[in-house]
Amino acid sequence: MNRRNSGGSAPGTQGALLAAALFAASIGWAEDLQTGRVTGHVTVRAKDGAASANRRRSAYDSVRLRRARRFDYQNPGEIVVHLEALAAVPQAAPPPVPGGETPTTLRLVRAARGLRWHPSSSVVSVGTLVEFVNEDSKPHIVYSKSSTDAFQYYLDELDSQGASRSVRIKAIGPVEIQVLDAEGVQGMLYVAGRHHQVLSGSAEFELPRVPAGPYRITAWHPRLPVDTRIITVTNGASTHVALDLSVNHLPKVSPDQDSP
Amino acid sequence: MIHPIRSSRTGRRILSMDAVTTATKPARCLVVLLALWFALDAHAELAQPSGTVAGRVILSHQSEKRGTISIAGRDLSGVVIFMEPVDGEIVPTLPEKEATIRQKDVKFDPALLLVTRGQTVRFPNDDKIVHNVFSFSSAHPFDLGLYSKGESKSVTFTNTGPVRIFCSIHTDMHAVIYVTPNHLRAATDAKGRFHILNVPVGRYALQTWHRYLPDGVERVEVRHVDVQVGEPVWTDVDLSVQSGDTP
Repeated sequence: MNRRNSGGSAPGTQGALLAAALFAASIGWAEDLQTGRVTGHVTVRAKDGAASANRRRSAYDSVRLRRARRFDYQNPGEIVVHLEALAAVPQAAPPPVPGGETPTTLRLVRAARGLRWHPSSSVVSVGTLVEFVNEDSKPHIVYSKSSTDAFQYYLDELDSQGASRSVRIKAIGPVEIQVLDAEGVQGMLYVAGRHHQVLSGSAEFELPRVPAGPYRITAWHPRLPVDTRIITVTNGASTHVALDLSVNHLPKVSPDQDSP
Repeated sequence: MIHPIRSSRTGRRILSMDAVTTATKPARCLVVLLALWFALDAHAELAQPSGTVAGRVILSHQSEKRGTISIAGRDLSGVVIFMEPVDGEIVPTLPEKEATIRQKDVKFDPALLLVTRGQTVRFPNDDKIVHNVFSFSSAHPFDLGLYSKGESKSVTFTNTGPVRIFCSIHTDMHAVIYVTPNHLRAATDAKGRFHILNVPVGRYALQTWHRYLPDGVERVEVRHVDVQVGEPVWTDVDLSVQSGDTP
């Protein structure tokens, strides 16, 4: 089980004492807020019977079938759990970063298999500054069209090696970053609420110091149905939520009458 | 006398059959000619004149610094083109042939399917292994469950938009069903070309969708003169990205 928590921007490197003092001041202000914590569990599991369905030795007996990759429910990749305030809940200001804000960087690099984004996926808090850097020798046109249509934006061309553009992501949801002049070069950003945690597979989660109020809690994976609940965080209390990213919750369809 | 009369129910002109049976020989010839003329006229009222809309999608980038840059060499296949009338609505014509996406060699075939709202799609399993087709797209979430070779299930799509489908067992199985509001639609070839047949005379908003490419929209008008000449109405759709259009 691997877990990564985030409560805002990464701390800078200048002046550890100054940073500590500023952080302490920030926490002091935050302590004035009424907060609770949100805990729970995310379940990722295959459909009942799926594991045994193709277990026959002869099932994958052709070359094409043997090459088939099976979805790994034990290690499905990053799952994001995050909160989205449903009302104007007062939030503690993120601790100030000495030396200014450090953006999250996605680099466009030319590797042995061609152009690609590094990292290919990243989870950021809403409002984060994201920088796109062109490390290829050719200019490229970078843009994004949100798959949820939550927002849509375009970026200028990165017209020389090392050129960069930055954008502040303002809406929550998945964002696929595209290169207009090249096919199949997708990068993925998941823009989460400020209180979020990244899991890898079924796991417990804990979101501490959440200001009291109503929230939408979401568990997201790019290839699984999202699970969303409405919760209310109360001061000094712990709210427990069980989230399930299984296919089982989708509307069922009956077999065709002409099927055997 | 033979009097063309207008039907009280449909408003169309019809002939009085009593008048036909009592007419003389020359008059009968006239009756036949008139009947033919009225039949053609009625057919013209039923079949609205229609033409063809054809064109291509192009990619470009517009920046203040460099002007417009055309993007060439990219595979432009699979861009969905669909048309909606600016005034009113077209009653969708559902194709007689049923739509099918097969599960074969651990792939969906085809990987892109265009269907009309209200159309049913079959999902037969042609593999000797079990699959589980599902979608969590907002346009139509569903779960077909586990089923084996030779079995099939069907889904009727009533909401427009893209429906991405997956298999819950096999990672590389994915496809897109795009549900259009009517039958006036096409998908582009590798060069971005498309043509849509039987487009009734009128004004339309021609829209595009592609999972990765920017959306485009063009206004298109099919006029009576275009139908009479028999030439397609040509239109290019620019899927351009503009610099500086950042949030």
